[in-house]
Amino acid sequence: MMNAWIPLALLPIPPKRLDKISGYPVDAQELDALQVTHEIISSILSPLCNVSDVTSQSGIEMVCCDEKVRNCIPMLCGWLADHMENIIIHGISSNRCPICIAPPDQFGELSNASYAIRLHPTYAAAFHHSDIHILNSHGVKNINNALWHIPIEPHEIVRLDILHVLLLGMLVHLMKWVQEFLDHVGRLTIFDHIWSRLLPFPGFSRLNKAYRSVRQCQGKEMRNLCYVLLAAFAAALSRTSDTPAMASRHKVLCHNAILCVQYLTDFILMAQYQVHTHSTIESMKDYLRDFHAYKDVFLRFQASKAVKAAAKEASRDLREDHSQLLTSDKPQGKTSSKHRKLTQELRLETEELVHDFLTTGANYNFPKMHLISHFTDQISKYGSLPQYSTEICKASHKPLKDAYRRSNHLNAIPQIIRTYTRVHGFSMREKNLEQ
Amino acid sequence: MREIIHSTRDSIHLSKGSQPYQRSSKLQGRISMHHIYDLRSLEAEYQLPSVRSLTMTYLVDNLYSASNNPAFELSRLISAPLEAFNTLQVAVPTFNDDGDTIHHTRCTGPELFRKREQRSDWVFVRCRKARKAKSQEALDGRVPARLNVLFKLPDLHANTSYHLAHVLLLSIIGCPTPDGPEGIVRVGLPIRSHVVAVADKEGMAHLVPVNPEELYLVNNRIDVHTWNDIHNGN
Repeated sequence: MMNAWIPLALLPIPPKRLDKISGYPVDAQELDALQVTHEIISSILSPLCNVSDVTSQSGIEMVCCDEKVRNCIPMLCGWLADHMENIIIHGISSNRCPICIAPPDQFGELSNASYAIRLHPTYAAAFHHSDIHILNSHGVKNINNALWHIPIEPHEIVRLDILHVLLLGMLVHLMKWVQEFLDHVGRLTIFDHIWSRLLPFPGFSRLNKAYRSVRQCQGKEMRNLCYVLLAAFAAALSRTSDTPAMASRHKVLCHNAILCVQYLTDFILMAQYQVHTHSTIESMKDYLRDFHAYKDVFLRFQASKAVKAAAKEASRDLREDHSQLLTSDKPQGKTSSKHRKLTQELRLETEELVHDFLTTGANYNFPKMHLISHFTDQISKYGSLPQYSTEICKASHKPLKDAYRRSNHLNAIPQIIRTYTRVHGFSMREKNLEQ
Repeated sequence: MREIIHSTRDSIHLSKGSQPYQRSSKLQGRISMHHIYDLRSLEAEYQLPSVRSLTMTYLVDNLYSASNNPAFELSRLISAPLEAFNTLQVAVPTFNDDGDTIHHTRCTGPELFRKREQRSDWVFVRCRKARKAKSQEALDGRVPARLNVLFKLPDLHANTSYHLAHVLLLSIIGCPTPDGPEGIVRVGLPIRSHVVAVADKEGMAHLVPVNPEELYLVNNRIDVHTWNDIHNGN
């Protein structure tokens, strides 16, 4: 399997922080760097420009691994990449979808009607006519895209990545919401206790620490986590023996939160199936719809830091007002039960104010929330998604890293290529001899 | 999950009432016979005073009911030397039918597993017809149980041996089918001790404690196989 992946080139990476040069703004520098990247990609893919036209059936003769010569028509069928790499390849803004033209302020909602797909020929024409308006309206960068010169539809080479979109994307968000929700209802310590004592199971590595004490989780840990999250979350909310009773207003929230976690984890688990049927795809659609129906239970935890700070300040002001009201209320000779009732009402009022503050400024408009809506279409078109996961590409980086380690680190690139080519050639030869 | 995706292996997705797929199992990790050599020493070592009586009950119910002199045969078998083990290896077929997943279920008793902790794993035990209808209905006829002891009782006269296990069977709490917002079956007290045949074990169970030693959630999302087994027919 590993030998089926052949590196074509080592791409230069533009620096993340650009120097400020007078008369050469940072935006222009970024655009030029992107243009250089596309020139390189164009150069690498140039052999495909002439031969990958299936209709002409021209093709080129190639020596196959069984040493027979065949007429081949090489085609660019897919590009396995995470979201930010897709952004570079497709030359679009980072808050845009590489497949469709969904507006960024609608990413958080599940649209009933799917958005129109990206029409790159239109963008190519707009670029050549310097029609910046069309490019800007679709979030396309003003560069000569390398993919426009290959006979493909660029949106068709996008393969949604389970590793980055689901495991390191949505699941990380979900864990953040779950942690904050448990903290809000006072069950975070119990959750940590349950989490760190989960029993081992074949295919599930034991988690020895509480989730919040783990600094960084990799794909394997997140996949593990998906298997147990719902049960641990439900157990933490159900526990009664050593915890105070939950407030009635929290019970409804807990019910909705469990449903939300259930739908998203089931969606993620099902997206990892190796085999799909129509019913599983329909189930995935249902899970996604239900997740969107219940996700507002976590909306307050999506608030930005500024909104959280503002909410904190507002609640502090309100509490001060309330404390004055309560101190002035006592001399009026009210009974203790009435005083307690008033205190409770004021506390509820404060909570409502904070809730309103947090939910007003919050939304779910981030790209991965939108990208999961394309999963079912991708499965229908291209088959199960684990085969397109970037985990395979990441594993293929290892021989290149080994080759760098074996070099003398001076002008390392030719040495890396030479070492890698030799090792790969030998392993291929061994495979052929085994057969 | 609303739908079950069916595996390529038909036999593990039989309809209700049909025979389950026979999993192959193997006892491993024999415990030194200096410590455990018969049922009495087993009881003492594992601090399980009911093993002997439960073994007799099992033998009477399952093996010697048709014998001419069951009392004699039982006393002979009960006092026979036995072998105790700390691991049961169960081969569970993979979902895509490309081999088996090996479940190593452990019961280390008073010993530590890899010098770290005592292990007494949760396993699924197949319910027989004699059990109550609720157990039959829940979890596709299987009940989670804590594995306490694994032992092999040789019958030298019949030239065979019985592979048995002492387990603590949990009870289904509330709805026997996946229920509640999380869609998970709850199990817990009361616990019943039983001696069962090793062949009745169907791999590991993954339980998440709600109130430890009282209430557990049966994690049905731990793998696709468990999901399908639990939801088969429910």
